[in-house]
Amino acid sequence: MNQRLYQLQSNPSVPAVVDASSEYRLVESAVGLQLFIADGSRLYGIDAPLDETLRESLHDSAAMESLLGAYLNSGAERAIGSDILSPPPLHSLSLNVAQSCNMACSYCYADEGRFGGKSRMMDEVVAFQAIDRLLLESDQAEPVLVGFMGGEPLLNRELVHKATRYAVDRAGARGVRFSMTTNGTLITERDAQLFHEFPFTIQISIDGNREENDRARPMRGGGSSYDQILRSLEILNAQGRPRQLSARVTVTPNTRDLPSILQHLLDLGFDDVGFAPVLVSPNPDAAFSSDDFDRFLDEMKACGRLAMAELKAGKPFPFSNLITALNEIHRGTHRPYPCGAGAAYLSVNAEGDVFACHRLIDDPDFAMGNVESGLDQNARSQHLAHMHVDKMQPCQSCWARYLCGGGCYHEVARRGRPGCDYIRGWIEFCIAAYAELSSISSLAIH
Amino acid sequence: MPEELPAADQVKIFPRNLTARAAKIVRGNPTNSRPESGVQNCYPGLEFDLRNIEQVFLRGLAFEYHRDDGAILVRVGAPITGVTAEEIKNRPLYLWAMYGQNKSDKDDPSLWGFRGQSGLDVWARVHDLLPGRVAVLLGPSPGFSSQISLPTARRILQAAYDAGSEAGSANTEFTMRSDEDNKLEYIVVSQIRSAYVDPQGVIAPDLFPPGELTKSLCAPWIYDFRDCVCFYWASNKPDIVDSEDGKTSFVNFLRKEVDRTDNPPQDITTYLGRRNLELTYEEMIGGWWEKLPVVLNDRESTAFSVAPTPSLTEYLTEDQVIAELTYLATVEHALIVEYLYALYSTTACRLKPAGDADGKTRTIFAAANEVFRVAVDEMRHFRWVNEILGLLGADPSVDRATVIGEAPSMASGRKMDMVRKYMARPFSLNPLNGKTQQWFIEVEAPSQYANQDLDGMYVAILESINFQPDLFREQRKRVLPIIKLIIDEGQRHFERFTSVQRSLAPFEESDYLRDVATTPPTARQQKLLDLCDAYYHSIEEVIKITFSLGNLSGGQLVKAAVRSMENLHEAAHLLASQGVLPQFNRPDNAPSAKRLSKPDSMAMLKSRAAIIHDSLQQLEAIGTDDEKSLALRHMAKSAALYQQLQDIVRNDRNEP
Repeated sequence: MNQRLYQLQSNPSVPAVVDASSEYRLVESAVGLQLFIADGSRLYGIDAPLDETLRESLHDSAAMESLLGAYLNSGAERAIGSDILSPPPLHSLSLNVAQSCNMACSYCYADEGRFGGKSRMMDEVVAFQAIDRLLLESDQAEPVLVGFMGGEPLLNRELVHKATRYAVDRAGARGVRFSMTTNGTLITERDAQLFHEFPFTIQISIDGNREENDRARPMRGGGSSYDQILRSLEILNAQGRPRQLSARVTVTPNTRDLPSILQHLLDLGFDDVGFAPVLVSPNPDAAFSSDDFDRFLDEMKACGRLAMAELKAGKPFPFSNLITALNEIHRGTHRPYPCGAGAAYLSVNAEGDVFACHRLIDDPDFAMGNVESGLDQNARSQHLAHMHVDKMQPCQSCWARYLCGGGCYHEVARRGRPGCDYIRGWIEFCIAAYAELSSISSLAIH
Repeated sequence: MPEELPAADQVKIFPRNLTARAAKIVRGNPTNSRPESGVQNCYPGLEFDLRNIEQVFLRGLAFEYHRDDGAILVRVGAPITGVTAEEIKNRPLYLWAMYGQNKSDKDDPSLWGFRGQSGLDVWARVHDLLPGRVAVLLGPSPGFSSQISLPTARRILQAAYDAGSEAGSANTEFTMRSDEDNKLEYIVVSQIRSAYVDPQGVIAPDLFPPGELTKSLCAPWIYDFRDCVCFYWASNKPDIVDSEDGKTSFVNFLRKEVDRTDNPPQDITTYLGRRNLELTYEEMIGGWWEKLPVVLNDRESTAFSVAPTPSLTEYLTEDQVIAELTYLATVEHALIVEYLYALYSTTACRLKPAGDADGKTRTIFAAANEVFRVAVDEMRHFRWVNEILGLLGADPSVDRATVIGEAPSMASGRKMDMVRKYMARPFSLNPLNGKTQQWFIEVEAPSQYANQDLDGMYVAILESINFQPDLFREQRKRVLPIIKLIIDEGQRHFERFTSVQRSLAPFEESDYLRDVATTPPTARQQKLLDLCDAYYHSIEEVIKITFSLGNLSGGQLVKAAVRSMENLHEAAHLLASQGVLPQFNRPDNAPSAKRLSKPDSMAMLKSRAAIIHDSLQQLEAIGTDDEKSLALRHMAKSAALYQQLQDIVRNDRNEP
């Protein structure tokens, strides 16, 4: 995560805590009661004698402050202020090289790549301009990241290859990394060689075993996308794997048995596997409603328990939703924004127009300039000014707001925030998991 | 708000994640001044100087310990009232005597007088103090005045000590001043020794303000190895060396002799005398550091020769490398056997002699043990060469060379005329007499050039792989370090055999070589001989099986080979103690395939287990008590071992 996102000044004049339940959360875990303090995302293990006292005082913010003051010497200054982030230097840019796709997944937010418009491909001129713009607008001493998105980016394969080499050449000693989200059905040997030669993180969208995956992710014109992916995996393994090869599962309310999907994909040899629930979809059946979230949370916890069994034994288990959460909790990440979109990360469409992120391509509300004529700093500032989590509802009163950040801009813009209970439930699970893991002294927590 | 809150130091709130931990501000000395994080080098030290702690062992008094004339008081303040800071500026006070406990708080306190002692000696006594009550006597000159003798000091200190204990006060003091001019004659103070750490285990912040503990430190970037008291830096610089021509040993590296090739001066036995012949700091800084010679292998040298350039006219091809390594494995095998035979020919027992054994016995054991350890190294090399062959896809090579340093034949596939002169020495079993010792030295001698001697063959392979990047593209990264290790360890073997020769030189050969029986072996001894051969063959077979099956179970099989080796070792010693040496005969049956299949491996193991079992049974039937005992023990071990081996081979997943 771009560290610059967090260079906020502390603001002692922030209004006093409104309600203790928005600042503190008690979490039960296998190693005792944990206290999570939203400000600074601080986590404390509580010894038994204080349990009762804390539980009683939890709803009284004055009591909590004096209690904690006695034990923690915590200052009155907040770690997170309400200062708005002003647009930081750019760090990463994704190129929508192919607004078109060879598959017909029902839940696609991108309308099969078209984003509601015509199918189109990015050309070399725009791609190179985008890379130049990225290098210009970023910190000259820092490396950058170029992402290839779509639709299906490998439909514009030649551009991907050319743009990669162009970026490496122009970035020089600064260094450039690459990422790609692909459906994994079109990877050739030459592509695999590119992914191996340069620092690529490849994310393949796959929804489970052959039956599960092909049901949700059909090829246009028939055939098994799962088999295609297997072929691609063979090619990747033969040519030398990229730096990171991840699997992304899109979960709909009809998806069953997440733990077995997780295990199956790990067995296929992915470096990590992550789940993303569909919130925005042209197909209403494919998107989650509030009720669907309860079951989803149970399934995720089941996956989490599967992972914990391995992690406690010191073995790796790259269930990325959990691992990411554990890392963030460990570092005490406290973010007033959900991600870097509009801040250090932007996305470019086929014409060279810039938007806050790859999901918001062609959305005029999130337009932020053009790679040729320049970034719209005003639009970026406005975006950041409006989206601070302390200004959002119902986020203002949620204890988890600094770990969550307020939710994906795209999802919130289209559907609001139906998944808050799920997010809180999942974060609580992860806090308890973290407490348990960090109690095992033989594990090294990084 | 609940009424009863537990006290802050009785409740644990444990910060778990990084921001929780960062939120707690801990004031005090930096974390690197914690004793447990130290380099254990604090005299003065790289993190903090331990001696700074004892400077304030009593409140209101601060001492310094670096003077030769004793421990001097440098600061005085509350709660001391008997003397002022102004006074000690004009008339410094010294620590004369101390009364306190250093052994156990159950015993009576001890008295120490510090007349004539240096500050550091005083510090050592202060350092030994237990926490608890202390009484000290301070006076205005180093040592005692003529008015106070040791018994008087004891009386004064004891009185103050007891008074302080009774009153239970933080500070009890008594001052004696002269009647005429009110000058201070002495002052005695009794307190509980300062607590250096507070109840939380943190170095007491009020005693040691930040910076106090680190105010004196080691400064290794100065060329201070001359006077480094803990010898940390001296141990990293040449200290005692040999002269350049190698003729004089134990010469002081720091002597100020410009022409160091001449006869170095005789050693002088007094500290000052020696020091006068050494470089001073000024001379060191003034340019001597540029004149000091390089010391290589403990020997001064003013000439520094560049490593020889590769002298191979033609590098080896992949096939030639494999062929050469195949041959070299057989040489390792041959050397192992020659070394072991030589070892068993000595009078050294298997186990280390007891502490009260005489010097000769211990020296002979040490020398023989060196030979044994070199043999063990060669076993490792034998395994490594086979591992390399396995990596390169070649067959394992476990036979024994008949000629060491043999010139290659056309059929062997080895590169012709690779070495200027081939050793061409036939394998033979020899006792460890002077001639054999010399042969061992020669065979391990390092070669400067790639085309000389046995070591040169490895160097040639190393250079061939190193300088041809296309050779063994996939495996070179793993192969190169192994070959380098074999060469390096070979170099050390040379040194070790040289030291063996040196340590056996004062003795007659009859002192350290066994009397070997001239009559044919008895039936029992023949059984032992057969047993040794059976073990010897089993090791070879297990190695072959290991490398035929690939690496999956390789580690466990190699461990099994080691256990067979231990059995062989024990049996051989038992035999040797009777004046009979194991013959290491080659197996009778026709050589089997180079690479064994799984069924063949299983058959081989079964057959070997049966042979060993039979030998042991026969030995048990007719042997002496020792031999019976060995047989019984080995029978149990061997059965278990071979069962395990068969399981490993059976379960090995590599081959159908």
